[in-house]
Amino acid sequence: MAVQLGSVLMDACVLAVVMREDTYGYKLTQEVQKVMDVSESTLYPVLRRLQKSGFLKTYDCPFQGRNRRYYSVTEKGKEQFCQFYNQWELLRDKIDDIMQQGMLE
Amino acid sequence: MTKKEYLRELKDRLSHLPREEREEALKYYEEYFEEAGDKTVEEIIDELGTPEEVAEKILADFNQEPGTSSEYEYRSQEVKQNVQKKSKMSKVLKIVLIIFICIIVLMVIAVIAGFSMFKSIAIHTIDNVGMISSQVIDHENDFLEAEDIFQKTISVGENQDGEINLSEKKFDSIELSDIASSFEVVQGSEWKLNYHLENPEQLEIAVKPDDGSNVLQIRYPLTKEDQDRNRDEKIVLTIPKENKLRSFDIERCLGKMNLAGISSWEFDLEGNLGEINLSDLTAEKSISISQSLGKVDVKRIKTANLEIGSNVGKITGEEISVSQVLEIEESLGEVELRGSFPCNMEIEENIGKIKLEVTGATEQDYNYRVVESLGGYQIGEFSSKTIGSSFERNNQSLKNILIKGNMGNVAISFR
Repeated sequence: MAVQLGSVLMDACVLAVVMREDTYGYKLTQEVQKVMDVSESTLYPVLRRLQKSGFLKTYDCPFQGRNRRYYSVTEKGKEQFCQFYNQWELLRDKIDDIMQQGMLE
Repeated sequence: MTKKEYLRELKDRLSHLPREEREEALKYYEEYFEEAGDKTVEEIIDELGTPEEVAEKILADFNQEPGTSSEYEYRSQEVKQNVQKKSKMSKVLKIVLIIFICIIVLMVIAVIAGFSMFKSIAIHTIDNVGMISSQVIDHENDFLEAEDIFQKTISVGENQDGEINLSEKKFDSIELSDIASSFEVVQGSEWKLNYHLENPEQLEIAVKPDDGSNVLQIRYPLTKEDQDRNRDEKIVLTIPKENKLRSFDIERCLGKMNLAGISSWEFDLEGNLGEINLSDLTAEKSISISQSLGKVDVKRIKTANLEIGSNVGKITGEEISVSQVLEIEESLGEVELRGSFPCNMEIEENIGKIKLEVTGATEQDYNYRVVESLGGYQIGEFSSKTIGSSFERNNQSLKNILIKGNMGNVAISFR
């Protein structure tokens, strides 16, 4: 896809995926890659950033003799996601408008 | 490129990050590789990017963060604060003390964890006597890739002494783990393994193909009944002369380890409980000795990087040559090294005494920075016993010595 996501949208998308259910890095990457062409190398910094801001927390779960690190949305993260979502709706409508007007010409 | 090489390169490229940040990142990518299971390294690189790309993104993100400066800047700020405001010193010392207490607690936990891991492996072995190959596959993900696991031919309970000829295979890497007997690695004419063991049926030898080369894996785990295991047990691995290895890993071994005359790109010794003797080793990249409980003695080694971290036993070394970085960190026991060190030195957060004798160089060949030391220090003619005093000297050299947060005395002398 030619359109590049900014870091704010990227944060919002990752929060959205984790909002559905707690998940771990590998699965998260596969989920996100279904929708957009994001190289995984950008996903770790996103997760780290969200964690540092207190939007995500992590916990380890034993799996086949090792630990899997799960990410989970905090209360603060849920609030942040709602804000993201509202802002996204506004932006989406405006961009829709501009794009559609262009198509009509 | 193998997965291991990928992670290693990433680790090297992230070396500027504070340790905690670096370890968190590496843990994430290690887990990713484990989850990716049977995907090839190439497929994963397609998803992740090369280690260079990944490191670049992580470093860029880290540097962008407001209020986070690079570790180097952070350190020099600390130094300035120490000099300017003495009242802050007690605070710094408190932090150092807390760090030390944390280290000790962590080390105790690590040792306990190491033991319980050993136990679980041992129980696993007993449950599967006679099914060594399937047990091996069960045990570690690494083995899932193995196409060629061969078992030694000696049947259960027979010949306690034996020799296994390994000369048909060419090995590039060696991984020793959970070995309860003593182990010796020597130079010889061809690849072979000799042993004298009470329970030879528990000796596990596997050959793991890895990107066109072979990894030799050897285990001899402790079992439930082994409380009074014979102390004479011994395994000797012979490596052909002039054979150059890519990596040599020794992990969680119980007995005495002797390595002599081996050349490898890197050596990694971690979490071993017995005494370790290394002599005449050459490493193009690094020799790393960490979390050892026993005494470690090193003679005539040549390496670019020497990393000594979190060891409990005393470490002694003679005729050592390090060309890039010498790191001595979080040692509980004493460390005494003699040799040529035309390199940077980082001596941090050690509890035991540190003594370095530098040959072929003078005091003027290095720049110095001493901070947050609770113990005294002596550098050439200059010495101080004042707790928490800092010292900085710039000799316009390219080689730096950093002495930070040590509890024991640090002495560096020049010959």
